[in-house]
Amino acid sequence: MGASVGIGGLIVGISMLVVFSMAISALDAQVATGLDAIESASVPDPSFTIDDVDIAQHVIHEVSMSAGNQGTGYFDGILKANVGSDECGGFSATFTTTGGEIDVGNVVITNHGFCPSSSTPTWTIYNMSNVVQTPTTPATFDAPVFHQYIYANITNQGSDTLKSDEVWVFYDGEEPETLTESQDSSESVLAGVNTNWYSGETLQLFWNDELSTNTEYERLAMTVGPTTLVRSTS
Amino acid sequence: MLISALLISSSASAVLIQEWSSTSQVIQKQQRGLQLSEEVAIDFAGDPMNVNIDRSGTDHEITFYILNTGEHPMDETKMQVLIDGLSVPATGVSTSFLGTPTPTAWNPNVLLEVAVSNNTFNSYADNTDISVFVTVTSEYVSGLTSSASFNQEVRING
Repeated sequence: MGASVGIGGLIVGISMLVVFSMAISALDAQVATGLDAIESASVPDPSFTIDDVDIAQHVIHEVSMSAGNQGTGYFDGILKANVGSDECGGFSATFTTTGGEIDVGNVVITNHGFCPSSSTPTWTIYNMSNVVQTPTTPATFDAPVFHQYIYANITNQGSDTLKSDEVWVFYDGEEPETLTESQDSSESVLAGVNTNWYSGETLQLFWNDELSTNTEYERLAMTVGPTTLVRSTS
Repeated sequence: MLISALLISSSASAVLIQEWSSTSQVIQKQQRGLQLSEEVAIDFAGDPMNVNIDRSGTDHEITFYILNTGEHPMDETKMQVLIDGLSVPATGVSTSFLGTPTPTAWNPNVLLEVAVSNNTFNSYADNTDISVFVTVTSEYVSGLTSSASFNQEVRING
């Protein structure tokens, strides 16, 4: 009797141990499966390309004129700039006149161009037929405001939609800012906060860099999540 | 005899149930920890060929950027930086968040500027390639923390 009870107890005990070890094995397998599921469900890394980056220095960002310097004997026309024989990258601006005087604050730049240096260019004033005007009293323009402009095309090659606030831009590895912060508020489609950058979409970017020095950036880097791309400028 | 056997088997059952309970808790915690470690990440951000070194101070200062690419906030005060294998003391590491408005915590997608200074950097010439290793601990998430790290070869320029 005693022996059979002992053997019975052993059998029960061993059975429980077997069940316990099986339960542990099942739990381990569940953990492994869960981790595999977590890994496979992870979001793919962002994928994008910087198709090109062009930098223009000494771009004429703004042209202005002070009251009293509007000249006389002008017609509505076109303003062009030269530094020596250089035509400042085709800079062009239109203006209107009132009573022969150029309207202050109504000089509209149609092509910002770019000059070879930050020296004040020589202004030439044409009529709408591209003939040089011969005023009674010549007008005098203020020294222009020069900026550095950066143009780039970037394409989202991944499957996910990215946000402009998630894209960090570095200029020669420094001065990081998000795409939203960096874009010119009036001339870029990315001016809005959190603008979507859809899969397959190419964005034409424009930076108006109010550069105080003549440093010309050589490399533009972009970081989105763990993905970083760098492109040399041209 | 029968009663003794029942008592023994009951005790064994109680012990096994208790062990089972504690084991399942440990496994659950371990699983949560492993899941958290999958969800915390940091990465070098910016141009690895253009990492700035400032030579104006007594100890030259290297500045680089780290992006929180995980899903949870990280604790920038619990960060260890190694430059070419040299552990930079905490006194030589300063950090600041970037962005507008300036973030107050190192949340996902927040960029951290890290400036490390040490007199051993004084011997680095321009265009020297150095190894940057950073490890950071996350903030507490459901009572757990995890760490993330990256290793990046970069070129410094003054």
